[in-house]
Amino acid sequence: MGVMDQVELPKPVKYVFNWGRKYSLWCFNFGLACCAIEFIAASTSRHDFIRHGVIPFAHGPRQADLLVVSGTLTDKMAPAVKRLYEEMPEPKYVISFGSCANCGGPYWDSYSVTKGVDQIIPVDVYVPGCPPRPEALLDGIIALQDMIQKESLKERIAGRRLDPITLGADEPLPSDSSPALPSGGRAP
Amino acid sequence: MSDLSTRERVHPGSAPGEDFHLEIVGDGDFQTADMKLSIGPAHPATHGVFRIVLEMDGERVTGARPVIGYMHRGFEKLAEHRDYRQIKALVNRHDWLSGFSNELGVALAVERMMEMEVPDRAQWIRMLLAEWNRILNHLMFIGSYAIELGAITPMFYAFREREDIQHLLESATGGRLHFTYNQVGGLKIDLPKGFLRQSTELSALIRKRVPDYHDLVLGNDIFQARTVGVGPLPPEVALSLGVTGPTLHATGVPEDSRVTEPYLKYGEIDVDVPVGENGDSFDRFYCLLARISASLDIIDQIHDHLPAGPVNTKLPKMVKAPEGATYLRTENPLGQLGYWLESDGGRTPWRLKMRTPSFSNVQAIPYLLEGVLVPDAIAVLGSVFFVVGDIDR
Amino acid sequence: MTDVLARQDRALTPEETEALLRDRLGDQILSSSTDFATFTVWVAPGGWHAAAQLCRDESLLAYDLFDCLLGVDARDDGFDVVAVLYSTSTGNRICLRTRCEGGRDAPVCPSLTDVYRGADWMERETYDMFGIDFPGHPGLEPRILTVENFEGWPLRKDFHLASRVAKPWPGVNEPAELDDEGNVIEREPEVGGAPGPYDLDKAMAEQARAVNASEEDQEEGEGTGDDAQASGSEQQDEDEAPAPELDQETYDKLIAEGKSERIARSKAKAALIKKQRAGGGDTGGGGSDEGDGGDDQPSAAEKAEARRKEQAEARRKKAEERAAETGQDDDASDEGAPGADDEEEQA
Repeated sequence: MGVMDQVELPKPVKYVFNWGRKYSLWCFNFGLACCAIEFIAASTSRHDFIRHGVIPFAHGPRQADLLVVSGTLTDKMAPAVKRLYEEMPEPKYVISFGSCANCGGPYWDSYSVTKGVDQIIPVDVYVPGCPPRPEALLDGIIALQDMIQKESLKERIAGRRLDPITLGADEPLPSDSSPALPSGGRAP
Repeated sequence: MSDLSTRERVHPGSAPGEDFHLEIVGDGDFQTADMKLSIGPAHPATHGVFRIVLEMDGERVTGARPVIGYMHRGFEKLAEHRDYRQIKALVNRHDWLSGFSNELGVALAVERMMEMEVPDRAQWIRMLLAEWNRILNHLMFIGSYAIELGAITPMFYAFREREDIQHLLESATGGRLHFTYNQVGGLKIDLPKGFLRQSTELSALIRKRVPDYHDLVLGNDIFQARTVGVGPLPPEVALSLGVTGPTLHATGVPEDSRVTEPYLKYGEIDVDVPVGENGDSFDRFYCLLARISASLDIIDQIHDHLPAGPVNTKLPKMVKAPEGATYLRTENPLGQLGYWLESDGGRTPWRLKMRTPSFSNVQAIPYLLEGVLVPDAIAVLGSVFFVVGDIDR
Repeated sequence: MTDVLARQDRALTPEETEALLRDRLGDQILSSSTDFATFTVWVAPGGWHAAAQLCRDESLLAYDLFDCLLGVDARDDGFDVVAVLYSTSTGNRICLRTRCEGGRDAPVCPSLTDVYRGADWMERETYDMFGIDFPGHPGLEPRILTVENFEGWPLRKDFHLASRVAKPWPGVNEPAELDDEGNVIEREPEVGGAPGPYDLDKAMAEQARAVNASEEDQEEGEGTGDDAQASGSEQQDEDEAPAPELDQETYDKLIAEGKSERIARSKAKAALIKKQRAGGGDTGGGGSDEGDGGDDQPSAAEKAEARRKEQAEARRKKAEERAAETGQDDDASDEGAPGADDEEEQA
């Protein structure tokens, strides 16, 4: 990355740089289960996330900026996911798409399912749902783009990430008696 | 990377004792090496986390060994810890392209054991939605098989139709992929007002669009050049392996449990089972495409037959299947889905075995791949239609 | 058998099929049933292979489609193996069932791979799930579905799900753990040393419980808190008016900033508690002791209780401070966003 990881960019340069980065996310879809179908649905003409600058044609992890883990991660698959993630060049982002990738989902008590992809790789945006609608993925992508706009590339390459975003955690719950999250909705 | 062993560096998730070294054959100046090529578990050609190890002599595949289990989520164990309502939520997730048909089988098996009479209307609606689900599934494979052969456009067409059908099904069930609409003794709720009109319109619309797929994919010269005569499967081998669904129909065996063992009301209508002749990749795809038209015919018949009345029965407070065992199979989009339900009289099944079509169909891949060229291997692999979750459960 | 042989034009009934099998295999056929529309024939382990062979080769039976093969846990008797066969010519289905030899320790069942090719993977799967050995199978290892170094046989009933032992069922009731009267069946956790995350969960749950307990104690002592206590507080000290639930100032400010009501309320609550801590921190602990009516000397147990409370209090304070900090961080980052948008507009 040359000097990017050495010096903090001046604010205007950083702004333009991040603006460019956030609208050219080459995306590698790690389609594992049901959610992968909704990912494909999000990439086709009805929902069309290419209009948001997400390009789902990365030929492999080495050409990708964004890894979308969509589906159930099993213990047998986990080493491969970790390896693919490590093949991606920095700066790299991960969207955990669907309940299984977030926390195990309906397979929370299974003997062979890894309870969340964040146990092996760091996640930037969690999209809940089983499976989430394509609109939810669009929402997650926009949240990620906001995050990219805010962050400093130097910090990112040094491994200091912003807090991950959980979609929908900011929304008021239907019942007011439920306890509020202490950090204002963002997951710790 | 430091925590991965050398073997995993060579290939992630490879089993112990598997060596990827080159085996030298021949002697003197004519020494050559057979190569082992591992495709997957994350490879575009295997649509899903499916891995296959090819042994190759030059460009020719001399042996193939599928490695499965990357999507094994332990459904059968989890089902023993959930009651009959909760199983539905898991069961329609194993084959994520045919959620409705999956949950239908469980509901039918429990109803059979409890000797429950399901209202006529519920049975007809179940058939209607099962057929829509079949089209939904086949459209996905039409798109993905074309992508594997290098054509990206059919996917966009297929998803245009898929979105329309999903919209229709969502209006009744509330789900896009996992419907959870069946329940023991009937359905969750009756169809919404206007569903039949929309269903009729959509059926006509898709019927009008089906010729597009014939022109775009099946009639395409490149498609034919890559599939005709590639990977033929003899019927007796298919039966011995337990291959069912379009893959079996392509070999010329019209074995379809909607016809031979009618469940629901399939006995009262005409069910057309398209069959192929040679059992090659082209025939498999042809059967898949022709089944869409066949399902549309069934849907139109259901529209004419659908009676009025209730859609569910009064259930006991606790659904408990009596002690005993039953085997029930239904015609899932990809083949025959069988449930072995064994109960000890409790609230949860004692044993729920799912015989999935993909598991049996994928067993045919080593047979099919022997002797084909590498580019054909992809064409064969894609034409044995499978869903990885359906293999591994 | 002649009457059976004469009727080649139609499919055999279950009774005729059983008679045919008995005729060929003798006492290897144990019994049969047609319960729940499923024709099941019990076969002795010795006749397992021969029965399958006969079912395939006998032209009257002609079971050509190998449907599936599965294992069933038969409690103390070991394991059963069921093979489901189907005939495309007659439309009949038969379920052959046998009990494995070797009990629960070393179940063994002859392999059918030389009769039906489809038995290959089915037997590998059954081996993977139950640990049943199939002599004659070309290779049961490596395990077909589970991860290579998996320990145990998942579908055996004595294999317990570690997650379920470590973590309670999140729903209202637990389907598998209740008996007919709805009483909870106590089950001893048999799997020791649950994996890390669940230990963490348990620790967090305990911490939360401790915090809740100390809060309840405090509320009883101070007389602050919910509406019910506010109405009752008139009887108590007049000078200690029922404190408002949240810091109105902060709440209004946050609402004005356009935050959602719930976030504003929770933040305002935190702000109020922070203020109270800063203002009169010593009233809390002292008040509760008096409230208990302390004419006796505090016993050792009470002392320990007080210490525990103090610790819980300190922990809670820390947690709140952390929460407040992260809240501020969030505010700062949220404010960053509109600024960036402005710049975008200017650009």
